[in-house]
Amino acid sequence: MADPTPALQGGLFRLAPDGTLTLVGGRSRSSGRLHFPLAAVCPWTGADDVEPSDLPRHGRLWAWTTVTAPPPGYAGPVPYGFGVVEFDVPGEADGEVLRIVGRITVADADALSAGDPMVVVAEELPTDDGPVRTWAFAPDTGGDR
Amino acid sequence: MSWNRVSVIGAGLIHMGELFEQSYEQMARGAFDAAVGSVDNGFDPTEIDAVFVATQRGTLWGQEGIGGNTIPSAIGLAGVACTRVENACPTGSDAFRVGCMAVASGVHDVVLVIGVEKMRDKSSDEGLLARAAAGHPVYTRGESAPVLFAPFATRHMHEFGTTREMLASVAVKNHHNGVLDPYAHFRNEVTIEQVLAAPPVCSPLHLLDCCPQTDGAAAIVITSPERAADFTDRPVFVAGFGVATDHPYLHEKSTYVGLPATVEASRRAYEMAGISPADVDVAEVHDCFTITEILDIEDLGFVEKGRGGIASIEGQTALDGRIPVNPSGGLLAKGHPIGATGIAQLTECWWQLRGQADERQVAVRNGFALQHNVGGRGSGVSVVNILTTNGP
Repeated sequence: MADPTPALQGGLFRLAPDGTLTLVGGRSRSSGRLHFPLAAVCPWTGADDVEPSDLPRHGRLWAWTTVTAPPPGYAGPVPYGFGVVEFDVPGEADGEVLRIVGRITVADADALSAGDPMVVVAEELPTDDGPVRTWAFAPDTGGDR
Repeated sequence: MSWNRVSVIGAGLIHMGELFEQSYEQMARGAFDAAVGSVDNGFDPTEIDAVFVATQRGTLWGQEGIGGNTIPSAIGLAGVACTRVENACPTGSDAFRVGCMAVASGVHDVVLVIGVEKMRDKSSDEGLLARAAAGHPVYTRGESAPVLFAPFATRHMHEFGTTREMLASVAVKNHHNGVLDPYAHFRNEVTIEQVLAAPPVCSPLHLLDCCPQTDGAAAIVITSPERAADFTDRPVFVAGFGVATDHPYLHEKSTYVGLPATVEASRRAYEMAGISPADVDVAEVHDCFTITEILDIEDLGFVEKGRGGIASIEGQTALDGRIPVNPSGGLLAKGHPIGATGIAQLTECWWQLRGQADERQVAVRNGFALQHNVGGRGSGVSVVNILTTNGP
C-alpha cells in the first residue's frame, strides 16, 4: 500500500511496502565516492557521472543532541533527538565513512553513547503544514525494522 | 614579511543592542560618523571614493532586495561607488577583504567598509529561524543553528573530555569582557553556575552558551600606506587575509571536532602575513556558541586540537592570559549583527593594537591582531584578517 503521508522532499529515500526506509545517495562512477543527498555532480570531484545509490541502513552513533527549543514549523514532541550517524561505505577505501544527520528517536542525550548501533527508520514528522514522512535513526536492537 | 599594502585609518561602531528606534540607514550613519571621527588628523569624508556595504540578510527586517545603495545618501556621499558584499556569517570580514583588494589594486584610493544588520525587527520565528533552512534539501524541519552546532560539542566532549564547565567558562569570560566594552549588547557578569543552570536549548548548549540576536553597525576606513600618512601618525596595516570554503553539508565533514574552513583560511592569512599563530597578541574570533570559540582557538593554532576547553577554563584566553580572545565580549556578549560583526571585531583589533581599548586593553608584544568569522551552511566558509602595527 502506498504511504499516505507525503515525503519531506522527493528523492531523499525509498519506502518499501513493509515500512523499511532506505536513504538514496549518489555515487560517482569515476571517483567511486558516495554522497548524500543525491547531487547532480560528485561533491568531491565535480564529475557529472553520478548515479543513484542506496545507502547502508545500519551505522554507529557519532554525535547527538536533545533539542529543547525547536525552530518554527516543527509541531512534534519536545524535547526531541537529533544527531549524526556514521556508516561504513561498502566498496570505499579502508576507513572511508559517510556521516548523515537526522532526527534521533531517543530524546534523552544521557541515554546515548558514541558508537551505539543505530538503524535508519521511517518516521512521521508533525509540522505546521501537516505530517510529513522523513527518516530517523533509532537504536539498533538487532531486529531489522 | 607581511603584505601591508593597505592601512586602516579609522574605525568605529554604534552601541549594539535591540535598536527598534533606529532605521537601517540611521544605524549606518552612526557607525560612519564614529569611524570618520576616529581619524587622528581629521578627515574629509568626500575623500572616500568607494563604499562596500556588508549586510547578510535584508529579509530579517522585510527587505528582500537590499542592495546597499541606500547607504551613500544616508551618509552624505550620494553618487559614490557602492557595492554590497554578502558571505554568510563572515560577511563583514569578507567585505573588508574585498575593500582591501580594491585599494591594493589601485582602482580606489580611500574606501569605506560598513557593516549594518537589523536582526530584531521581525520576531525570531518570522525571521532568522524561519528562513535559516529554507530551500535546503535536508535541513528543512527541526533544525536551527544551535541544533547543528550541538553535535560538535557532544563529539568534542566525547573525544577530548571537554566538560560543560569548560564550555561555560567561555561565556563567563566573554560576558566579563562585555562589561568592559561600552558598545556591548550585554554588559553583565555571569557565573559558571548561571551558565550551567540556564534553560537548555539543545544539549549540551544552554541559553548562555548561545549568542543573542543583535542589531548593530560598524565602519572602517582604509587607504594605501602612502595616503595613510596624511591622516595618522599611528598607522595600522593589513598584514594578510585568507578565505576558505568547505563542503556545505554536515554529511561531508571530515571532522566534527573542528572546522576545516577556519584551518585553511587562517593558514592562508598566516602565510600572507608571514607569521605563525604564536605571533598573534590578541584575537577576535567567531563565538556564536561557546563550543565554537573552543573549536576556533584550536583551528586557528592558538592551542593544540582538543585542548581548547582546558585552555579556556584555565584562563589562557582571558584579557591577561597567554592569548587573549574576544576582549570586546565576542558574539556572546557584544552581539552578532551579522554584516557588522566582522567589522566590529576589526575595530576592536585596531583599538587593541593602538592601545585604545581602555579597561580591556591587552598586552601587545608582537604587534599582530587576528580577526575571524566562520559560518554558512555546514560552517562552510571562513574569513581571517590580520592587522599589524609593524610597518612595511
